[in-house]
Amino acid sequence: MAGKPDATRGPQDHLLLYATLGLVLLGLTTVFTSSTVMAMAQFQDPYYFVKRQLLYAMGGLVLLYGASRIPYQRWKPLVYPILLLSLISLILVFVPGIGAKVRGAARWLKLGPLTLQPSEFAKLAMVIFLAYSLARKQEKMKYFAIGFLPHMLVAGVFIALIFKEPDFGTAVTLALITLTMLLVGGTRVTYIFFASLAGLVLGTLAVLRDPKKFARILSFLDPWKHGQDVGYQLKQSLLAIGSGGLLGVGPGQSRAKLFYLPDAHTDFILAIYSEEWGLVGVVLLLALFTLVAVRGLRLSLRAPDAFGSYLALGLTLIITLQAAINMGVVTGILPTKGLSLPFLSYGGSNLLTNLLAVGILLNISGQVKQPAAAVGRLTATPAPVAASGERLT
Amino acid sequence: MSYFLNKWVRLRLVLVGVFLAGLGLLVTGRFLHLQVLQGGALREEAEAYLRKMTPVLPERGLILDRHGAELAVSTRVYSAVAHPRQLKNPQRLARELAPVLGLDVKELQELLTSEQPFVWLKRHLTPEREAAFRAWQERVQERAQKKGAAGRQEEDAIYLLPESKRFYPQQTLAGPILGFCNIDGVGLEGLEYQFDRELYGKPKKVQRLMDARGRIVVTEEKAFDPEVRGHNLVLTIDRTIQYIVEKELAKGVAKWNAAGGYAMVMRPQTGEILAMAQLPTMDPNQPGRYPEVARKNRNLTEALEPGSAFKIFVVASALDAGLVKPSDRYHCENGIWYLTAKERIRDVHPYGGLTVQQIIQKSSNIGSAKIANRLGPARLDDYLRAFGFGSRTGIPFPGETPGLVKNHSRIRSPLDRATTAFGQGISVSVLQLTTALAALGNDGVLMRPLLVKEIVTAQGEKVREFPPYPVRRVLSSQAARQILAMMQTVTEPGGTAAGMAPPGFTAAGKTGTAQKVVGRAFSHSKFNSVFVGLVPAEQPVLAITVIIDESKGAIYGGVVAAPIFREIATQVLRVLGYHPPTPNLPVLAGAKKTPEPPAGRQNGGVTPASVLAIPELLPEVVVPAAAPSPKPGEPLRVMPDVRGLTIRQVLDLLHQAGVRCQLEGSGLAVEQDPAPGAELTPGAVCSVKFRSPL
Repeated sequence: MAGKPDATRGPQDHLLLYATLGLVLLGLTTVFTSSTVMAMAQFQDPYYFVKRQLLYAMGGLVLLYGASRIPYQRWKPLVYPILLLSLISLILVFVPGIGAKVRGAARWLKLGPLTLQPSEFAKLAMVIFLAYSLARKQEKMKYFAIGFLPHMLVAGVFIALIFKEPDFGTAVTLALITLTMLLVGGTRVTYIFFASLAGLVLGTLAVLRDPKKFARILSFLDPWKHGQDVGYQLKQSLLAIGSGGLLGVGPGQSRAKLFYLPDAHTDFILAIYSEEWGLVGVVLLLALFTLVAVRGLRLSLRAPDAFGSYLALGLTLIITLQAAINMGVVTGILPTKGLSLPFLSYGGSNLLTNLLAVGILLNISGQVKQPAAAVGRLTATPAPVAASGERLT
Repeated sequence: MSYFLNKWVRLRLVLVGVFLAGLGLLVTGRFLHLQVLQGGALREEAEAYLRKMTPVLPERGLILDRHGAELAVSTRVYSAVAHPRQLKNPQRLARELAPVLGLDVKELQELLTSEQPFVWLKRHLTPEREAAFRAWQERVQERAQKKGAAGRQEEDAIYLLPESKRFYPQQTLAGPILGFCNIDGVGLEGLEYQFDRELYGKPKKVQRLMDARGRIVVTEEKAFDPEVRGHNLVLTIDRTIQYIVEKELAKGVAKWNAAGGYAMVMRPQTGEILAMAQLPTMDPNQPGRYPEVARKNRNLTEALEPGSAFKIFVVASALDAGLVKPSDRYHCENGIWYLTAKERIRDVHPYGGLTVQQIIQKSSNIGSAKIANRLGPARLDDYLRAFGFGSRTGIPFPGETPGLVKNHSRIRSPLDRATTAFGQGISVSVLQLTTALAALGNDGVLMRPLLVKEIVTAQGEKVREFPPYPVRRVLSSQAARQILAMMQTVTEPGGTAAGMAPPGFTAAGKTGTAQKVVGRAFSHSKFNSVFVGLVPAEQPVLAITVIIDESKGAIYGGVVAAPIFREIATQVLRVLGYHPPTPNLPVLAGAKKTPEPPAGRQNGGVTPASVLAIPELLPEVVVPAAAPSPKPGEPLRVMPDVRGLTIRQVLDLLHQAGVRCQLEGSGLAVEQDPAPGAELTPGAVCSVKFRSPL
């Protein structure tokens, strides 16, 4: 059955699709409302960001559709080329001329009119690689030299490169995704524990060496004390969220976007969103992400093969774990670091990566063995069966 | 059910789910905490950032003439200001900004590095400098964008602050009356000083939505904020009459190569001052360029000796007291009257016997001294004080002089006692003189002089009114009529100012030539040439005083001052719509009834027809067909195109149209709102921007 995907193909997970589309729409709306003032000031065009985000979203939906039509098993032979390509792009970031440096961070690649953020795609590459490798090794995962070391080496290089950019947030996210997948894949908990410990020590050392990051940590602990300098962003974020209250100040009415909150349309877009929509909107957003998490993990349990399971897990983590960390950062639970909120934050690479991930998830969902699934589901679900893959068009 | 995953893997997958759910709950809890529990407090704090109390500088009220023509207005100008403590590179900024603002680099550096939290860099920028500054701001922003820097720039701590600047569109017209303000819009002189509190307005603070760069986001700023606008001052001055008086006075001063001059026109029935002129005068737009003497309103602040013009008050008093009759004869000692061995009074021309009327007509010093003696020192004192001499009139104006009246009962010297009769040894202000003169023309009732008619809010509601106020009856009706008749002979053949009545009208006048006091003695070369007059003599509608200071060539009031009076009276009568009655028709000389003040703007106090001519017989006279003053006309229906006009032209045009105008900048009009041709509603407010032509 693993070799014949089409034979067992059922309907794809439309709940996941709707949740995704809902998130994309919320994202477009919020990018629009949060960026107009900034866009007007910088580019004399209030629609500058939202126009681009719309293009990315359309491109991302095409990717999503394509990925949902390609049997996910086809990614298997591409694992190493993808990994290599991702590695090269991560290195190219540091090459002057191709890599674009913005505010001291070399995170972007300039390819003609396109600006790509390789670290976003690196997450995808790493997940595909790990899913492939974990599925292949299965029972041998508990051995240090087979189950732990190779993955940690590959992931370590990626993480180190991303850390060097510096993109602290993405590096940590990638590390967390890797460790989680390894943990689920069967690596001994002790290895994970020591790896985490090592990572923590390294991270602490890096933080202590770099006064700027140290200051950021400090600001997270007490944003009010540092509200005029390093804690400014977090303080403004909290003020914005608080201003939202239960029902929000209304779409487009955000005050924090008037240059008070830096990165209002990117990393801290959630602050603007929650200011405008209030707790009600936040609950809606959390529900959508929860839906993605539930459907993704459910898929991971039901995928037709181990590769599919691990892939589903990794892809779900890319979206939900990052979302959770971003929310933690924006609300001051976690230290401030650059990390976008999937689907909502302005940024092409992020949106494309996440939509591509959902596309792959959708394809996996289409291959879930029907009879077995039907038992677990509600009984009255004949309607989606007929539509099958064409649902996406 | 997948068969290939062992149960441990499945368990761990579920654990991942649990972990994510935990994160989700944590975040939800945090949001609940932030938005609901702390929501109010956070919102308040955020509001404090956003809504800063920004002062709205008050806008000084207008000063208007009696018909609403703007004499003093406020325009919007911008000042460059900075918060030096927020600057990181004051040196660089100083170098950049010095040429922009036209300041010295060192000077600017000092300002930008000062310890003050706020400094003025340059007040009241010219439109060019303002444009240059805005261009600089744009360059800074471009530069910041190139660097990719977001958020607050240090350059944001230097910005433009709108201020209101006083502008006097009529320039020197009524300058010393209006006074002037300092750069902060605080009145320093004249009416600007006297009514500073009323004009200044109420500065208020409003909450404005500010972005993080300190700019006002939503411009709630109204072009016309009545709340901060000061009250408008409506004067009794008539701009047209003021112009005529100033023009004629200037002509006379130039003709006689005089040091200066004074002129005042008053309504006898109400005490309203229609015009008050002086030379040297000043342009309140540039008070610093004029000497003190030009800045002071000397019609009120200077006490002068009135000379022979003062005789009328002495004679009128004697008439009122019933001590003399117009036909009583006095011996005028053939020119020299020895009071004692050393003290004597001289007449210019020697006269023998003169009637009281002739004493006025010929202006005999000896005759009037004898009448004063007849009156006696105590009664003379009482009458002079009743006329208002020696005390302030109470006109709301800073620095009014009470003048000087000696206590005649205590004076031993008969000469010193007698000189008052011909206006020596007594000093009065032009205002006192004119007010007392007006009392003669107002049936003997002294009115309080009025310079301010009313104070109204920016919306036009009356705050305070200054209605005509009769102070006291000084003379009986009969005495007033008698003195007017005597004074009329002055302008008739044989008088000292023969032929000086305005053509077609009669005039009751009196000349005077006062030796100026230089040091402690009377000068023999410096004189004040005085003429006081009421027109028409039978029922005066105007009281006019003209004084020429140190005329060269001729000195006599009848020669120097009277022609100026004649010119002023002629033109003012025409402006007010009084036309000479046709000689064949009877003039209502005896019309006692003071007609109710008509509402028309042409006729300030008295309807000309009812006084001077019989309307039924003289319809063509009544209609002021060719009134020279601009008629208010019908309010315009549509907005005229004012672009390219000067501020003054715009104000004239819009005033005629009945449109209140908000001005900004200076120079020629470049922008207007509403656009030309737009429909106007009555009482509409328009805004016009000016730029000086390059």
